[in-house]
Amino acid sequence: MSGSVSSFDFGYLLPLASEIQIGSLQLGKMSKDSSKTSETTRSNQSISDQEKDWAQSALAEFNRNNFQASYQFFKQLEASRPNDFKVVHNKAVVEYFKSDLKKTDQFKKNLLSAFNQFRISIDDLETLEDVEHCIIYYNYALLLYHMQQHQAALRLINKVFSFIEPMEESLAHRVCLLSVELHLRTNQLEKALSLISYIETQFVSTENAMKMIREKRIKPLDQAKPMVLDAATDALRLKLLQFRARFYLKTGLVKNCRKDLKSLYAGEKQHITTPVFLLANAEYVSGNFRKAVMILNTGIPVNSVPIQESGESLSTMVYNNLGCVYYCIGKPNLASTYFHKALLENNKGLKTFATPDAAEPLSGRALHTLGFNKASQVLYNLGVSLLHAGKPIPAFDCLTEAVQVYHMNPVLWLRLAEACIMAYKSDNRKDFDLAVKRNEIVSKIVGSGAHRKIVLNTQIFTDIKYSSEAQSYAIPVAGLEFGSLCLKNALFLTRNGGDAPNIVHLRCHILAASAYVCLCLGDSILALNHANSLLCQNSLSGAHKFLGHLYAAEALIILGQLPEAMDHLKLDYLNDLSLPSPPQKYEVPLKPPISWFPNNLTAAKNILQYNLAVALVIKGELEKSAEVLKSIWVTKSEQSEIPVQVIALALYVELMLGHADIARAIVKQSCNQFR
Amino acid sequence: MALTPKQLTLLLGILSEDSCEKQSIEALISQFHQCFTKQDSFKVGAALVMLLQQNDLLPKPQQCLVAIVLLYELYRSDPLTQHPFVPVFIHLLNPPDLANKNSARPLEYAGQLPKLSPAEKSFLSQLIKNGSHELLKKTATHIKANKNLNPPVADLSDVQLALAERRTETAVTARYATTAVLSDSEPRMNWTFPFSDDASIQQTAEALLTGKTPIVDQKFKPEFLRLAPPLFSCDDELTWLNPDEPPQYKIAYDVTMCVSNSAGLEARTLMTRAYKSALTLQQQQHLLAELTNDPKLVYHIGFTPNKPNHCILIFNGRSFVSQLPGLVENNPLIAIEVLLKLMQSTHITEYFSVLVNMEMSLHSMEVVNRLTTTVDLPTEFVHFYICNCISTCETIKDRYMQNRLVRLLCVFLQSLIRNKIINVQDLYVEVQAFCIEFSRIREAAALFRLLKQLEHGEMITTTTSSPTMLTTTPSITTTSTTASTSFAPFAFISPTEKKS
Repeated sequence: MSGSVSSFDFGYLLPLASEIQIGSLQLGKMSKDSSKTSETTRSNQSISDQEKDWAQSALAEFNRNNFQASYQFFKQLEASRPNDFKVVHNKAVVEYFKSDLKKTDQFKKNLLSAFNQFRISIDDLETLEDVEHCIIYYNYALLLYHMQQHQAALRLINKVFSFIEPMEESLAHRVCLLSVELHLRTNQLEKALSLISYIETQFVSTENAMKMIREKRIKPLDQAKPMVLDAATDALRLKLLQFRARFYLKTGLVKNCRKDLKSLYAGEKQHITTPVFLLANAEYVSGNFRKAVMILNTGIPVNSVPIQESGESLSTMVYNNLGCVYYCIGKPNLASTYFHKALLENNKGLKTFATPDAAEPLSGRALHTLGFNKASQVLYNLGVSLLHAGKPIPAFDCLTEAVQVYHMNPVLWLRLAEACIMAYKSDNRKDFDLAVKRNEIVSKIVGSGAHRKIVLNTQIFTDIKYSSEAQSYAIPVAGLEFGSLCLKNALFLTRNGGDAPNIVHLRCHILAASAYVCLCLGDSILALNHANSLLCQNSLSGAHKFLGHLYAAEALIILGQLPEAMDHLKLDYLNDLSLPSPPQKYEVPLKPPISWFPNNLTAAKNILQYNLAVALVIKGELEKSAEVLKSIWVTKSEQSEIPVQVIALALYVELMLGHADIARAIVKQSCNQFR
Repeated sequence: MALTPKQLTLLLGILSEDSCEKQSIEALISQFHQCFTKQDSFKVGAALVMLLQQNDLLPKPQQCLVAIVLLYELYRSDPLTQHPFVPVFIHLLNPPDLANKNSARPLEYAGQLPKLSPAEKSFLSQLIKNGSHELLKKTATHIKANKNLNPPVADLSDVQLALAERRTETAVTARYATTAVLSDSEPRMNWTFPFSDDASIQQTAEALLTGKTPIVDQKFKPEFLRLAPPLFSCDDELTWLNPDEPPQYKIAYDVTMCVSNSAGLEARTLMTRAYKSALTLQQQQHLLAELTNDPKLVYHIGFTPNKPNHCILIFNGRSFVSQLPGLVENNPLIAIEVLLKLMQSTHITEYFSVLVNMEMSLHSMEVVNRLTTTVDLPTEFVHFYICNCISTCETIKDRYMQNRLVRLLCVFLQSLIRNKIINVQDLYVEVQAFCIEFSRIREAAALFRLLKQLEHGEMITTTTSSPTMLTTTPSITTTSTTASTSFAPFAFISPTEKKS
C-alpha cells in the first residue's frame, strides 16, 4: 500500500480499469457531459448566504446526532429551495435518522418520490447521468442490501460505480465498500478481488488516504470521537483484510489468508468477533475441525453486543457453525442438535423485535436488524443433516421451509427429492438381512387340518407400491409424486450448467434419482430416458453406472424390450462400486462420509443376477431362471449378501413349474414357524 | 372390496353340497341373483375363482360345476371376450398336463383349477358359446352323469386371441401374478375331528375372502430389486455463518448540499476560456492551484474526451472532437497538469488517443514530451505519435512550415532517444527514412548521425549495412541551412510565451 500517486504502472492499471468497466454496467457511458446536467440542479437557483447557513447548521446538528434539530432547518431549506435535489434527498435522510432508522417503509417511499420528482428511475438506469444523483442510488442500494436483495442492490451499485471518479470522496469510499460486499455476497469473486485492489490503490495509498480521512469529519455517526489519522487508515486496512480473507475462504486459497487472519485476530481489539469467526472458518475449510470447534467454543463473546445494536445473533452463528463441523466429521445427529439450537436462538432473537405491521413490513425495527433472520440458512443445514441422519420426514419439513427462499438452488430440490425417496425406501440393506427377512416369506397361515393354507407375503417385493390414491403432485408431502416434481425442477435448473465438474456430478445424482422415482411411479419411458442419460455422462462413478444399467433393464422389461434389457444385466458392467465423488474445493473434503448398500461386488452381482432371474421368468424361461437363482444361493455365506427376494422368486418359479411340493419345502426351510 | 361375512354365508349356502346335488342349476342361478346385485359381480367372481382354486373348500364335483356356471352367469349379458373371468374357462377347457417328467408325482401348480370330465367340458364349452343350455334345468349331478354329451366342439380360438390382446395391455409384472395362497394340508394324524365339515370350510373361506384387505386380492408376482440411489454428496454444502456487521453499512447524507462550489465554478469558467485562448500568467497559476487543492476538481470542470463510443479502438485513426486539442494549443502547461491529474482515470487512454491524434504542433509535442518524462506513457502511444508527426511532415505543402516542423520533430526525437524514452530499434526504419528524405535540414542530419552512433555503439555487426548512407552523410552537413540555434523548445516554456 505504499505505492504513491505518482508512480504509474500501466500494465497493472489498465487491465484493472477495463475489468471494472465490464462489471459495472457501462462505466464508459458515463454522462455525456457530467457538467451539463449538474448545472441544471446547481444553477437553477443561486445559493444565498442564509441558505448556506441553514445547510451548515443542519449538517452540524446531523453530525452531532441531533436529528430533530437538524430536521428543523430543512423546513426552511425546503421552503426556499423546493426543487433542490440535495435538499429533498437529505430531508428524507434526516427524517429517517430521526425515527432511529425504524421507519424504513416511509424512507423508501420518500426516496421513490424523490426519484420521480427529479425524473430519474431505479428501473431505467440510463436515467442516472448526473454524478450528483449517485447518492440516492447508493442509499436505495443500501436499503436493498439490508433487505437481503443482493442482486438488485448490486445492479444499482454497479451503475453508481461508473461515476466513482468524479464522486465526492467519502461517498466514493462507501460505494466501493458496499460494492465489494455485494460482489462477495453474490459470489462474483474475481470482480470483488479487483475492486479490493482498486480500493487499495485509490484510498489506502498515502495521499488519497489522507484526503479521505480528512473528510471523515462530515461522515455522520462517526463523529463521536475525533479520528486519529492512522486509526482510520488502519480501520480501512482491516476491513480490506477481512474482505480479502472472505475472498480466499470462498475460493479455497485458505493458506493465503490464515496469516492475515491471525494478525487481524491479534490486531483488532474492539471488534474482535468477526476475525474470530473468519479464523474458525479458515480452520474449518482446512479440515482442522477440532481447532475450529475450540475457537467457536471459547473465542467468541456471544453476548457482548445486544442484538438490537449488532443486528445479528452471534450465538445462532456459533451453534450453526458447530453444526457444520459435526456434519463434516460424520455426526449428523449431533449436527442436527446444534442446528436446532441455532434455530431456537434465532427465533429467540426474532421475538425481541416488534412484530412488523402487515402494511409496513420493513418498519418498527432498525434498518440494520432487517437481515437478522437466518432461519432459512439454518433450516437448510438442519434439513441436510437430518437427511444424513436417516430422518427423511423432519428433513423434508425443514427443506420445504428453506426452498421458499432458495427456490433457484438445484441442490436443494434434489435434497427434497432424496427425502421423498428415503421416506419411501429407507435402506437398501434391509432386504439382505436374511436371518430376519426369510421369516417374512409367509404372511400368515389360515385354516387347519385339510384346509390349512399358507399365505405367501406379497409385500416381500417391497419395491413396488403404486399409489392408488389420487394425489396432486404439487402438494408438498414427502411422497414420490412430489419428489418427481422436485427432480424436474432440479434438472431444469441445471440445464444450462454446462460441463463443469460439479454440475456433471450433480446431474448424475439428479438423473439417478429421477430414473428411480419414475420407475416407482410406473413411468418406464421417462425412467429409461433418465437411465440412458445417466449412462451417457462423463466420468460416471461405478455405483451410478451399476444403477444406470439396473434401472434401464427394469424399464426396458416393462416396455417389453427383453433382449435390450438382458444386455443391461450383463455382469461385465460390474467392475467397481465406487461412489460418485464431488469435485473438491479445499484440500480436505467438507462433507460427511456417505455409506451406501451394496458396498461390495458380491452383493451387487447378486442383485444383478436376481434381476436377470426375474427377466428370465418374464421371458418364460423358468428353468433357466431357477438355475440363476441357484447360482446366487451358493454364494451364501456368514455375512449373507443375498436378498430375501431370491427365496421368494425361487418359490414363485417352483410354483409356476408345478412343483408345489418343492415350494412347500422352501417355505418350511425358510420360516422359523415351521421348524 | 371384499365380500361381507354375511354375503359369504349366502354364497356358501348356494354352493352347499346339499343344494348342488339336489336343486336344478336354474333354481340355484335365480337364488344367486336374488342374493347378489350386478355391483357385487367382480368380488363374487373373485371369491368363486378362489374357491375353485382351493377346491378342498368345494369338496364335491357338483359344487365346482355350479361355481363355474355361476361364474359364467355373473357377466352373461356381456360379450364373452369382455368377461373378466374368461381365462378361467379357457384354462378349465385346456388344462395343463400334470404328468411329471422327472418324478412319479404329478405336477401341482399353485391355485390349480379342478379337472373337469369330458362331459363337463362339453357342457361348459356349449354354455359359454351359446349363452344358455337346456341342461341348466337339470341338477349338476345329472349333467355330470350324462354320458350322451358330445365332446367339446366349440372353437374358442377367437376368444383366446382377444384374451392374448388384452393381456398385452396389462403391466408386464402383473401378467405373471399368481395367487398368494398355497394349500398345505396337515398330515392326517394332526387333523382334528371332524376332519372336514361346513364349519371349518366356512372358517377358512372367511379368512381368505373377507376382511379389509382380503387374501383373495393379494397376488404373488416377481418384481425387480430396485435399489434406491446413494445420497448426493457435495463439498462445502452447508452454510457457514460469519457476522456481516450490518450496522457498518449506513445511509449517506449529502454533505455537498447548498455548498456553492465557488472555487469549482471559477475553475470551470477559466477552463472554458482556456480551450479557446491563452490564459494570463495569473489566471494560469490560479487554475493550477485549484487543481492541486481538489483532486476531484478535474472531473468536474467539463473536461471529457467526448468519445462517441467507449469501445472504439484507439488506433483506428478516428479523430475525436474534444476540448483537449484546444487546451493543448492554447495552454500546454494546464493541459499537462490536467492530464497528470487524470492519470488514474479509467478514461486516460482515451485522452492519450486524442492527444496523439492531434495536429502536430510545438505545443502538442511539448505536452507529449513532458508526459513522457514524468510518467510511463504506453510505448505504442509514443510510437503512434511519432509516426503521425513524420507523415505530417511529409505531406505538408507549405515549405516554410515543413522545415519548421521537421526541425521540431528532430529535436523532439533526439530528446526522446537521449532520455531513453523510446528504443530506436523499434522505429529505426521510419526514422531513418525520415532523416534521408529531409537530409537537407541540419537537424535531420544530426539525428541521422545520432542513429548511426547508436548503431555502432550497440550493434557492431551492422556497420557495413548501408554504404550509400555513409556517402550522403557529409553532404547533409555541408548543405545545412541557417538553422536557428535558439530553437530549443523542450528546455522550458515560459508561461507567458504566446503562440507565434
